Amino acid sequence: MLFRQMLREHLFLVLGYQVLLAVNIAAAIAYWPELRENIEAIPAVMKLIPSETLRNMVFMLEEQGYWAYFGIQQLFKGGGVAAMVAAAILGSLLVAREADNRTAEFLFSRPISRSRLFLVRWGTGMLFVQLPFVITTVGAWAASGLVDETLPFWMVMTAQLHLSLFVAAVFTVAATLSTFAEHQLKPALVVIGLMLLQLAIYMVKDLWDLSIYKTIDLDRLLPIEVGIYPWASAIAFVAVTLLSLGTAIWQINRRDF
Amino acid sequence: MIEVHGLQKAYGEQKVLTGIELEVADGEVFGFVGPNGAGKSTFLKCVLGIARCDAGEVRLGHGDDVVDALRKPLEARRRVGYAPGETSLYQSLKADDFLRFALAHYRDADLAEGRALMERFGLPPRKRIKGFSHGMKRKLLLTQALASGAPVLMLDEPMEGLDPEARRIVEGLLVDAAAAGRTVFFSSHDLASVERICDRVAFLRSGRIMETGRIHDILARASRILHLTLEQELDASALPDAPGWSWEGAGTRWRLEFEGELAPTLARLDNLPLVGIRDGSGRLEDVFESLYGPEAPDHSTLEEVA
Repeated sequence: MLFRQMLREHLFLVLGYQVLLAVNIAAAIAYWPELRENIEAIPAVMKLIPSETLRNMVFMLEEQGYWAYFGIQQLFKGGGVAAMVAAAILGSLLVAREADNRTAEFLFSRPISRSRLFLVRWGTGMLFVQLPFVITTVGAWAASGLVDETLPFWMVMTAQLHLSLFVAAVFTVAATLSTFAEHQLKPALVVIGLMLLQLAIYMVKDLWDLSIYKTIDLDRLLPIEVGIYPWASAIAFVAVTLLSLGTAIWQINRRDF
Repeated sequence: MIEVHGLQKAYGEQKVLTGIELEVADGEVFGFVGPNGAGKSTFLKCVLGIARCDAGEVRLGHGDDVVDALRKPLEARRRVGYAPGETSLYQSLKADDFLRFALAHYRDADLAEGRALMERFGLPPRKRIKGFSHGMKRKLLLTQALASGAPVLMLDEPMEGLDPEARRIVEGLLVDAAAAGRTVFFSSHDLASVERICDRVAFLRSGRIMETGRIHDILARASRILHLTLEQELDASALPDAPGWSWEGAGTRWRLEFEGELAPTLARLDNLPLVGIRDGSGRLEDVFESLYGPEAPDHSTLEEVA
């Protein structure tokens, strides 16, 4: 029942997010043949690109071809921006929405433990964030054949797993902030603001090692092709997720509604 | 039954509940009365573990099946059908879906009974809650509490927003629930309803219970209370005295609680410079007025609490 109630509350948000991801990758895949035809022209335009970070991305695109393009479009952009925003919003709504809409008193008067209630909602929210992202990645992998490109499925899904761990950490941090918040969108604004700051730092070559986005960029994703998985980043994502989850459960059990 | 001892709650420095003592028996209808901000809703939230209390003991259940609500809030909530005072509900749910959602975790919930109650209240089961009026939402909240199958009903302002016909139905349902052995505890500003259906009532002010008793006894006692307005200010030492009399008040406004007959009491007050006299007989509203109105003792020390 908790799952169905959440689905009804968030259905349009989740559908909108799914459509956004799908449109983004569909447009990218449709554009790929034209870019592939003109890939030799890339060095000529490189010097016109203002950011060294973007120049590095374009350089990798020229070097690695479709795998780098897929990584930028679906994983870095889809996961690092679209899924991140969805994770921040859905995580933010998890508890603070109940407080903001004054439904918390009713919800927490039900004979179900707060920890269980939170975990069910966290799990449901996580599903809402991850499922569209995974579906889109699998769909993009399958659609790659339409533009005469093939990528190993295991490689795409391993990279997807890495991005999913990143999104899980963002979602859980937002959900944790939500257990402290009274206003439903405040945690989302905080998380999205911090992530945009991280993205801005990432765009500055001298600072990009300090950015969270360094943990999901092509330097981490492309080596998956040769079996090098970014374990350190992945472990950090899992640690942040578990730590946030523990904090959220502690807070939800001590909060007055 | 509900047993509460020494229940305390503060928000920061502000004390909201200061040592609440209450006992409500199985099959009893108990009214919890007080002005806005007295702490009624906070009390209900503390008992159910929606808000944490700072000290005290709460036990509730039915017969021998009684749990320590503060140590086992989940077990306590299984035994309580609760209708909050707040009527903000999930707007996108249809009434029937909300009912199923509300009852999902109660072991003895009766969905069929809930649906029958919705029909009796005239609630359309397939309509989304966002199209419901305030009174319809109140009825829906009452429906889920009554259909929960829980032995204790705790209702925050159940009559608020209801039309007279719906009030009559709710009063009947609560009396029936008590007759079936359930404990009915409700907070209310609707003193007429409290007077009609409650066995006992407690008056709460500034987080303290001012008075608890059977309705009949309280009304009888109220008939032995006089509110006096004097022409000039008098000290307590200047007031007449008699066995069983007690005075409260100051200056020109005094409240006399007396024992015995009214006529000889009035005769003893002849020498006072009276400009007004009013007795407390009549209804529960008079008792409420005597406890919370401008003539109430210590009224100036009343502080609003959350």
